Amino acid sequence: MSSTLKIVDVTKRFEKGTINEKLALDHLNLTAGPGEFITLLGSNGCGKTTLFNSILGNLIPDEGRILLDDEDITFQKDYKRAYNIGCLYQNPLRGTAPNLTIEENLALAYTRKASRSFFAVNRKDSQYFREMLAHLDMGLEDRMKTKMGLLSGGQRQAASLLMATIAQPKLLLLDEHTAALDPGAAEKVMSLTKEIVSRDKITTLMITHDMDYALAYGDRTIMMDSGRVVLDLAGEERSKMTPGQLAEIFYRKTRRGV
Amino acid sequence: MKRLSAMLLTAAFMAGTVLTGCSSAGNNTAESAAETSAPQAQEGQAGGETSAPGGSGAADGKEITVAIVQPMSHTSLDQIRDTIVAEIEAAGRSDIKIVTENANGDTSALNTIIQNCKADQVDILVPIATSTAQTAHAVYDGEKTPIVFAAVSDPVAAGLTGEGCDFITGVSNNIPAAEIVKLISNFQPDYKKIGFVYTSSETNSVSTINAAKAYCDENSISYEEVSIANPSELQTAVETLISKDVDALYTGNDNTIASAMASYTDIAYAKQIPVYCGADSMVADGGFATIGVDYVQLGKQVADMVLKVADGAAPSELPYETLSEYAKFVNLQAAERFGGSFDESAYEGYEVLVEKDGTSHFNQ
Amino acid sequence: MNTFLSMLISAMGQGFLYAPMALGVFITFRILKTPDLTVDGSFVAGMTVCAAVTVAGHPLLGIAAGTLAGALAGFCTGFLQTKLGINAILAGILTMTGLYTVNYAVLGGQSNLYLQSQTVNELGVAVPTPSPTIYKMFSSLLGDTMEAGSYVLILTGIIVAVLCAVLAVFFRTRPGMAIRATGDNEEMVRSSSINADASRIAGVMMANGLVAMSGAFLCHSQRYADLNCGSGMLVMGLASVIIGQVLLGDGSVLRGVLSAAAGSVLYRIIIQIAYKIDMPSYAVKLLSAFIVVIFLTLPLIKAKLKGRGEAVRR
Repeated sequence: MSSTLKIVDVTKRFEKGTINEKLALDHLNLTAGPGEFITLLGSNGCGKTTLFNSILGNLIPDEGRILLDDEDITFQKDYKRAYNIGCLYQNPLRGTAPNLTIEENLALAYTRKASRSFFAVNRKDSQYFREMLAHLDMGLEDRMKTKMGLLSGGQRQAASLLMATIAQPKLLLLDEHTAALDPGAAEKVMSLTKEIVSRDKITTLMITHDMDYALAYGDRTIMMDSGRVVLDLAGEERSKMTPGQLAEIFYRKTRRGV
Repeated sequence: MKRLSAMLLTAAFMAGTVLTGCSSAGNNTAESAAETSAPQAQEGQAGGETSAPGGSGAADGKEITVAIVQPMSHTSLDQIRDTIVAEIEAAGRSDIKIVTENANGDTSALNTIIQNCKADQVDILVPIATSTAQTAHAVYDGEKTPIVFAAVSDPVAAGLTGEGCDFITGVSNNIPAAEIVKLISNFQPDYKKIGFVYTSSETNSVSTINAAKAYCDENSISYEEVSIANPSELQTAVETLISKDVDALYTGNDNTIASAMASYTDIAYAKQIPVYCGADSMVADGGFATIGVDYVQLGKQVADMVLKVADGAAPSELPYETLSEYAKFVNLQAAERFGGSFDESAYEGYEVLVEKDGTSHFNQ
Repeated sequence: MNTFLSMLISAMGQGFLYAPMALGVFITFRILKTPDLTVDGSFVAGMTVCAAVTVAGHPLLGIAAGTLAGALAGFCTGFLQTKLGINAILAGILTMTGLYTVNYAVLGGQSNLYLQSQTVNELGVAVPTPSPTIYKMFSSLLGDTMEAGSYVLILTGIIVAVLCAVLAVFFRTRPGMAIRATGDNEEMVRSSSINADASRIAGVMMANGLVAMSGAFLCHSQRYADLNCGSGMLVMGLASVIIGQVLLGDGSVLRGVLSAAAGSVLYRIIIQIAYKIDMPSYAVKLLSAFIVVIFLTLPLIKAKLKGRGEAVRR
């Protein structure tokens, strides 16, 4: 679903008053328009993950507001926000329950939009899942009753992607979700991501360290440093940029090795 | 594979149960009788052994099996058990075989043990302590096997005397509340306030104290009370009572506190407060005086009842007994410790259990 | 053979009495994957509340009230864990400690209560009469021909079978699945927009309700409630769950639930055998611990025999 995400003047400090004090987000302003696919770059410690955590509700910012489709979700409980937000992490283990089957995992993820049925795993929903899984083209539709923990990293991540998007969220957050996969699986998952995002027109934020990905996918690239946006590429300027050039800007604008 | 191994193992256990079931009560019980009565050395073992040669009990009549079941090991409980064994042996009854069992503090095992006794068809069951007796009642409900309980302070409240209890009788270790107060006023005629200390989870102790409190209420005697849940709370409890200006401390037949007499008396005597207790073993361990349960006496009375039942008396004809004699003991060394000096007349009727110099006559 | 049969009946009866507790421990230990130390306290809570209500003349309500008491205890532990962020083990200990006072108060300030009440007989005298229990009611329904232990076995067996079925079905429903997932990956549950805290509390409430139900059954079967009956219950529950799991596996929830109940029965049979064996009574505890260890190492032994020696971790 196409939604607007507005990050308004968000600030977050950690360990205030101690020697470890860190300004993770510094009056950050960012607006993601409906259906926009933004790739997010930045060195370690620049605030990318803190930003995601603030959007998801794992952190409450010290100042500022976060608005999703003009609804102020800054202080909303994490699981309430999850109704509209899907998230995928680098670690394929994080987004799934290893001892439940694929079918059961999907049924849980689908809770948000499922029909009022008594049993979590029922024929109608399972049929829908089968179609969705077949779409992934990984043979998972034949293994719906397999425990999630038995799948490979790539398969798990693909299933996680499906789980994150099956309930048609307003916003999709991707935190280096292919970084831990082998090149083949990474390629597969990225193409799936592109396909699903463009099909459902989900507003997406993707963190990546890969310069190629940053430019090849999405329609806007943002670079962060020290809790601020230092580069915002879109349109022609972006399509003319090469990964090499982007890397150069990266070294110039960010504090390396932090 | 798993299912196969599951079935094999279950079958193995069934087989095991069958074998042990068939080997029956005979062998193991004589041995366990010998083991658990080891402390009482000769008498206990003799109890186990006389049944063996008199195994020709078949010759002079049916062999009668008596099972004594105790919930845990404790001086008083062991005393009861050993006395019963000794008394029956001393009566020269070679046709009575005694089996002793101990649940070692595991209340859920009581049911198992008593079920085993029932399966072994013991002729008379002797449960020691309230919960053991209650479990025996439930297990033997509707049966005719006589049960002779020992050391249940309130058999009526424990449900051992109403309808459906024709087969149950025994000896209660109740201490009349009036006697307790008499005990204290005997040594401290000017006392103003009594302090009661008891363990909240011990039925016997609680019922004794409740009766004492009711008596005090009726007779306008002021008192304070503190209950503990485990031994570590004893020190705080005693200090609390002392701070409330009690003149004397009293604890009934309480297993938990009985095992902590040393620290109990240390604190109390340092403040010159005498400690009165409900059992002779507690006096031997430092308490000042007791009018209480002499577990040897209790054991004797139980043994008497068992012999009567063995000879054919029906439990319904034998109402449960309370102690016919109370143990009245003093500890002179304790008196020294809390600086008490009493008139000779106060000691009349009391047996000296521990001399001034510490010599103990306990268990003699 | 009659000896063997009656021993088996009583051991199985006891096993079924403690089976709801094993089911409760299964829920916290295996499904929620947090250790719950409330058990010793909630077991007695079930027993005491049931006793108090039964003495007032309502045996069926007594069982229900006992179960509810356990659920409330579970709520406390769950609340401490989730909303107050207290470590799971500590939360259980705190509730268990507090329950001691509550249980004592429920029994009216004493530590032992026999199920009887004062009724006035024909002569106008108040005499103590035993209170009705579900087992008495059941046996009179069936004509009272067999020995008491058989009725305990049959009635409790039926109830446990129904409980297992209900649980197996429940854990396939949406709330049930949420509880399962909370134990597996709580973060994922939150991402699915489910209130993980509520799921966890619900799970702990269910578990302790079942444990308390066991206490209530025991109260009716032995006809008295005693504060000392709780110690060692958690250990018994864990041993039952683990023994059952080793023997019957836990592939599905139904299998897991049945194995917990079976484990309870098997554990009581082991204890019965241990007490039967010719040895000093104080050695029984060591023997039963030894037998449980043998059970736990069975998977290892099996793997070694197969020659693969895979590390088997449960």
